[in-house]
Amino acid sequence: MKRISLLMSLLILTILVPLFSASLREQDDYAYIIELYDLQDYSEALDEIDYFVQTYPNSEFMDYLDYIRANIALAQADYTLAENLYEPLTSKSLHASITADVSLNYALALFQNGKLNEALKALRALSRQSDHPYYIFNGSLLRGKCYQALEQYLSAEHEYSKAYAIDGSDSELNLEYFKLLLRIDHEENALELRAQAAADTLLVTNMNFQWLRHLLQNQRYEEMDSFLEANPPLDEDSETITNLILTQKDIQLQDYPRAQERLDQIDLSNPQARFFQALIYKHDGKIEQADSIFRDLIADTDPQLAFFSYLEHLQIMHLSDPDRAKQLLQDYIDTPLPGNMRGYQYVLMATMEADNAKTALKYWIQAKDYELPMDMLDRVQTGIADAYLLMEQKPLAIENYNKYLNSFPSGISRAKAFFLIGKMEYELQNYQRAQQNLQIVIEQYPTSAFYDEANFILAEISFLASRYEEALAYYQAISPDNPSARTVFLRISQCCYYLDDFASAQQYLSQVNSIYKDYESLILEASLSFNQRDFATALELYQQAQTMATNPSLEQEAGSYQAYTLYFLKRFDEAAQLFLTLSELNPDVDSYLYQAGRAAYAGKAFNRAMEIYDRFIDNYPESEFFVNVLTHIAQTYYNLGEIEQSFADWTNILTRFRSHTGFSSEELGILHDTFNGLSLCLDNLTDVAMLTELMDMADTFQSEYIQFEINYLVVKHFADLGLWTQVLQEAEELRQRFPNHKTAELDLLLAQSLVQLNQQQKAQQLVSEIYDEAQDPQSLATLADLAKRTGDFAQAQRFYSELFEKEPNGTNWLSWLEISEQNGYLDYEEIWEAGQSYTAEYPQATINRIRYLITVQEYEQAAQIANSILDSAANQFIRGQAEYELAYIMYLQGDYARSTASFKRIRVLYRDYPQIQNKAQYHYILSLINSGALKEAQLTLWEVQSQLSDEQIIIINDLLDTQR
Amino acid sequence: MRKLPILVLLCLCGFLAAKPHVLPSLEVLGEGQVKIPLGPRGALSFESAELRDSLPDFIPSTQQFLPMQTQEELPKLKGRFAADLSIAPSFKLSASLYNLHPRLEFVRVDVHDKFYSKGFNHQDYMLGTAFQAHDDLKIATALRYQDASAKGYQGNAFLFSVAFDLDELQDNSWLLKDIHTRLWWENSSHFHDGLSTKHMQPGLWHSHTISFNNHAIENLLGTSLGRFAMLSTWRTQMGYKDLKLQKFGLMSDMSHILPAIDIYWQHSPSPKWLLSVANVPTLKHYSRSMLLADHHWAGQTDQGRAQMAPLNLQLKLQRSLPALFGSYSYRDNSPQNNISVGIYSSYIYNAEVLIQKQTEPIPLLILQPKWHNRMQVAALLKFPWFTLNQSLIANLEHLPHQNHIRAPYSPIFEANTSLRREKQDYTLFLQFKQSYNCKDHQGHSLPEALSLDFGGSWNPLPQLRLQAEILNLLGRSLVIFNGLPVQNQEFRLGVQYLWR
Repeated sequence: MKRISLLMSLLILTILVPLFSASLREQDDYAYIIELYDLQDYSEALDEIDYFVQTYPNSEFMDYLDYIRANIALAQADYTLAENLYEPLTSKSLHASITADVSLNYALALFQNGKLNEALKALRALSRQSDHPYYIFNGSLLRGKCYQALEQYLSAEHEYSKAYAIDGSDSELNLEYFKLLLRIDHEENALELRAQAAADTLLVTNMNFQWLRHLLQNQRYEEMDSFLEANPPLDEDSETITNLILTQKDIQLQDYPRAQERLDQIDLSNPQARFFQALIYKHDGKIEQADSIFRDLIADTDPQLAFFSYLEHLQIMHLSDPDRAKQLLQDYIDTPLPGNMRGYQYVLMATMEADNAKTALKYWIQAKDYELPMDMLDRVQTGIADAYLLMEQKPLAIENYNKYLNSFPSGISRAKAFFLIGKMEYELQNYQRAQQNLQIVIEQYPTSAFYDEANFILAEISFLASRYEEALAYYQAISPDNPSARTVFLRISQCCYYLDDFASAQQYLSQVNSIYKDYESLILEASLSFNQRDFATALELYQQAQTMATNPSLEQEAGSYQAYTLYFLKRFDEAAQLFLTLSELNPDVDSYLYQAGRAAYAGKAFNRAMEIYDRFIDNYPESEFFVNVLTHIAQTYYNLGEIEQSFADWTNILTRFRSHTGFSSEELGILHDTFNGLSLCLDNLTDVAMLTELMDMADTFQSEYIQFEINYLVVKHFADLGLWTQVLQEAEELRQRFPNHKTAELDLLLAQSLVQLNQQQKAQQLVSEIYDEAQDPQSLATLADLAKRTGDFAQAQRFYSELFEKEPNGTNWLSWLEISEQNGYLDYEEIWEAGQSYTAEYPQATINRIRYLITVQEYEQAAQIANSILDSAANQFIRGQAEYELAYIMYLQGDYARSTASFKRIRVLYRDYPQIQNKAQYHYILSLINSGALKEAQLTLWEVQSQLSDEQIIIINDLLDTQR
Repeated sequence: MRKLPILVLLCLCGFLAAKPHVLPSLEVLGEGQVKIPLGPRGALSFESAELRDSLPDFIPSTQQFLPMQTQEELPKLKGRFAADLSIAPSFKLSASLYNLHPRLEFVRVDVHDKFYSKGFNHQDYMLGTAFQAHDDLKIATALRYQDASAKGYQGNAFLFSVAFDLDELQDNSWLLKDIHTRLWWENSSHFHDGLSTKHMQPGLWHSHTISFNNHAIENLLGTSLGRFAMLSTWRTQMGYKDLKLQKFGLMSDMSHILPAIDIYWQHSPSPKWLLSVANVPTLKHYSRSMLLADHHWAGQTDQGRAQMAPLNLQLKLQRSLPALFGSYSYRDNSPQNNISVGIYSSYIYNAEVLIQKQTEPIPLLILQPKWHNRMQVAALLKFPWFTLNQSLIANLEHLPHQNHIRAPYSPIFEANTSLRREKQDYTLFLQFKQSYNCKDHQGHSLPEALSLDFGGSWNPLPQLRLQAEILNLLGRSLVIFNGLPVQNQEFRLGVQYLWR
């Protein structure tokens, strides 16, 4: 500071004073003021200045005293006062050296007050006023700072380099230059500068702080840690500053407990530390404590700290009195403020207006015009995207979230951005892009708040694309504590349903229903009941669901399921009527009319079915069911007894496939129906001419399959007609023509014809030859089957035994058991032992075993097994058989009352299984007879006669006769 | 019809295998189990996570650094004591005490007594304080008593003054700022030329700036020797290139109304040259204490008004010169070698002028218009051991109202040479002042004034300074005004102690 003293003392001499006046005293007092200023006793200097002004009000030194006052204000960081004092001095005729100093200091005060352009103007004046290296150096340094603050970084760099050329060792310059190089991302140059300054540990330490802040601002948190490891703070002061930076990092990462730990190591008299403490209080919900600190700090000497404290205070006020907070903020925005602070005000305003997307967007965009730190820009960019999202402008929102992802590689809202892009793409039906983004959320941000919903949307995409297993995995990844758990369980249940895992479906559905029932859950519940053939419950639930349908299409869906259920309840008329109603409601949908026809047909209302099919043919000539309908028409004609018409229709359908060589599974189904239909027609026609017609037709088809099937049909028909010679001849020819088609069937047919022609040996020989030749299990199975058909059960059992040995599986085992049954349970126990492992998979075997136990009169064991089946089996057919066997045991044990009741129940419950029905009807009547209810037995016989075999009828009649 | 059941079954199978457009077919799972063709399900909604982000915390980017320029911090100053003794004889004592109380920031006492031969003496006692009356109001007060006497002359003045600055006042459209006020009360008496006068007057001197709608008016008003005066100027933005009309307005001492035009022009063809022209009109007030302090032994006027200088022209041209050795430091802003030429011209109303009636041994102070012109050439040169400051001045003073009594004053030529050496703990100076062609008020030549002064100061301790000066080493009597004491060779000793 001696330099100032020299500057001033020289000035004293330049003042002309007459001798003998009081001015010697005045000079002394003035010199003393300068001395105090030099010693930095500023308040004392100011007091002496006041005294001086009182004593010498007309002094020539007045302007210089103002200059000293201004210098003191500048040194005490009272930049407004400094600016006000320097401003008039710039247009006073002072000593040239002072003029330059005034210009520089005035520029400095203007810079500190954020008046950058005016500061640059003052610096321009300075450059004209002096070529003193001190002013050139400091002018360049300050110009660089101004340009840096104006974000004109290249100009700033130019100025710093000029100053650097004058004095490369100046600490302040080095630090400013270093900051600038980091600001323009010239990291290498910055580090080079740091290396050059290595000797100045204080400077390097400060550069280290700057470097850490640079990393922090760019969200390069990991690099911060590694840098600190390599460059640990050297002393306590450095450690405090480093801790403050790290606290800032923790706060940025919202790791408040850690920030608190660090703060505990810092003396809380540091205003910045207090500010951080208040932030932590705020996040811990200690709002009042936080607000109290913020209010204190509003008056802090650090303008930025004061500024942010006020903004935080407004934020807290916004919680209780939003209107007042907004009004105060608006007033604050309207007051003059350095530009670099303005952005924050807009950020806060945008946040306060978040519900009002358009206004918020305006403020976000305004905020973007100002220089803000990375974490604030991070928030601004998500704010813009959020606002677009709120305004339902999804493409713009996606664009802005993508911009965010590109600009903030370590951004704090990346999970959210990925998620929202994914969600919006999903809503815009761009599923692939949705999946890409959501997959990132799941893989990279498993702890994010969006994890569950990302899984849900991914699951929905898979679910809607019918990829249920994939969907299931996603749904199951969602936390069961989620507020939407019911929805998730419903979806899981639906997936299980589609994947045929009904037990799990039921299990999840019960969890869903325990919360509440809605349309979806009812539909699913009904469908599960339906699958269990509990059609009555299903119908009831479907009806219930229909009442809960939220729109007509759901209502119709429930209606259509009801129609199906009615169909299965054999209430065909109602089903048909319902389908017709649905068809009228949806004239564009062909399937309803189609199903209506089916239902009418199933209800044996053939004429009505024909009428509906005719309507279908007229209305939906392009329908994919068209051919199906034609086959159904042919079937209907058949059922109406118009065999010839039916035959003509079948051949007509067949001709549609004349040029086909390959067939889809659906077409194969139709062809299969067609051949069946033709076969049935042929059965009912004695006219051989049709056979000939069919044979002639065969060669017109391009498909070998059709050719073969027609010929096979003819051969079979010859067999039916008993024309065994022709069968042999044709079959032989067919075998040669189509060596790969239905070999077994043909063999069987050949063998059958040989049998019919009393050439069993030849037949068996034929098959044996084939078997010997091929050694394939299929031929062996044919042999067994042949033996069974020809009644040679012993031989058949041997073949099955051999077959099981060759190919041990459940099917073969079951066949073996069944042939043993027919063989009077020959070697039954051994066979049972051999395949016991298949019992779980083949419940039919257990039924077989029950029959065996009944035969050997082990009734108790048989009943026990039957009961256990009833307890566990879901398969209705198996349950039906078990129930039957149980009733039969009662019957055999002479408990006719109970057996009657049981058989009666079976008759009602298992209408769909003719075999069970037959036996149940038969034994029901026998039970009635044995229990003496002869009249009832007679009536029942009349009722169900058509379902009984002649033999059974004879037995019953004999018994009735005997009883009477 | 025997085949009918089979056909029904077949149909059923067909139905089961059919694939309706909207309703998928029932699926046969084996063993008589069926599955309802549950249609594709619609999308379900999911309770979304709250999307609104909280605002990131405002984190001040105030960058804390370790201070890179360590300042040697001295303990706080508690007081200063200074004493100065001269063989004239005169002595001066001064004591300042700081921060005696949180509200009493400063107290200063000054005592200055001069005792010259022939009964000329002057005593000056002064007490100044600064105290914080309120958080926003700091008041500086001064209490001064002076007494001067000479043969047939006696004067004294007591002054109590209070000065304070007020905060800005603002309404919707106007703003009142820079409010400085000084109030005083003065009691004085004079006995001169057989006449005794007494004055007891309050006084006010006040300045402020009013701004409204981008206009600013500066007002300066108050009393001077009991008469009102004011200066009111409008701050303008007018100008041409570097020439600026800074302010213009009017001033008045209640006798004259004069224009006040403040202009400033600075031009610098290169950083080495600096030319500036300025006219800075001034209005200054007088008080009897001030007059007595500046002119101890002169009869004071009864008629007094404020001093006004509508013309106060300053023209300066300065050229900086290269260093005589080495080069200028970029770390130090000490002045460069330079040479300057200045022309100053002031027309001052109510300037202090000493005249002398023939009957009176001591002069009379009157306030008259005066035109003072001055041309000055100065140079500053730094040598390895010392700094040379040289100035040559030609003064021409003119009293227009006195034309019919006296001829205009002749020019006075002055030269001032100073050599100075400053070091951390000592200072040495040698000064030679010359003054030629001095005339008294009647036009009689006065002997040339040549004064060689030598002095130095030494700080044996940081808080202690010792000072010694020999004035007028050549021992030639310097006559300032006939009748007033001459200055002979004088030796001064001083000491200052800073109490921390």
